[in-house]
Amino acid sequence: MQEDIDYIKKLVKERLRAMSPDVSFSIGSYGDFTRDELIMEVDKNSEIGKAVIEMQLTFIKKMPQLLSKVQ
Amino acid sequence: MLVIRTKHDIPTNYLYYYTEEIIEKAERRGFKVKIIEDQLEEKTLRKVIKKLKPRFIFFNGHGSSRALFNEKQEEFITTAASNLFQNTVTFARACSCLLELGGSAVSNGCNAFIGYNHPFWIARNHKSECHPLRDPVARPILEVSNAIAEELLKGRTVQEAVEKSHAKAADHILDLLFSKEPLASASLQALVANDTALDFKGNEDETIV
Repeated sequence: MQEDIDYIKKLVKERLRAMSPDVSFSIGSYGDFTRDELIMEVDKNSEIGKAVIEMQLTFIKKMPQLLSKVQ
Repeated sequence: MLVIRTKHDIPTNYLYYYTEEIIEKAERRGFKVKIIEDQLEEKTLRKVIKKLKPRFIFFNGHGSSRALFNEKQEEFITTAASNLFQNTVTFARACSCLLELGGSAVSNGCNAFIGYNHPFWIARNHKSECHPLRDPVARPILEVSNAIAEELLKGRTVQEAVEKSHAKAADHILDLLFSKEPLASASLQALVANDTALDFKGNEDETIV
């Protein structure tokens, strides 16, 4: 189980690192975060980090559905 | 129509400027638009709603599952005050408030409550922070949510307005998926997250005209 969580965190962080450093995210009242700050939040397992993981997993789960619209 | 917006930090600044075009469109369509943008208090809001009886309330700001926040980052409308939305269609462009506030509002007489059941993400380019309308990263995200208000103003039902927003999101998502623009991935991920979180409670056939 812990291995799964670590794998997901690693995946999410790699996906974040693939983004341009010029990008920031506002996550409602949580505040504003640069790409690198989001990576740190994932490491800290904070509420924001969990929101980032949830957002990335939502994206990954939706990908097949999104790509099916192209074919 | 009642527009509630603030401009006290970066995300609310973005929301603020993106409501401008909605206000213009509403006025062009003959809507009387009342704007509240500072000193947000439940008491003030109640007075305005009692006097003007708006059919459409468009909130732009921070929120949580159970409340909307004012410019001091304090809860100013909670589930305990959700009867405020009675006889309106309300669109809350704020984090997570569909979860509890939306349901509570509908139980207390709101015709329909449109909102998000997860955080609302705005992806931005650092270099455009002072000019939200010129930020290409944020634009698709805010245009897609603006579509809800635009469609309601055209007389579309709540269900149609939300579907239009989903359709617009799908168009942008497909464009962004194949974009070579290095910042596109940020817009894409925020769009998918917000589109997944968008929903409504209440009467799907309700309109504001």
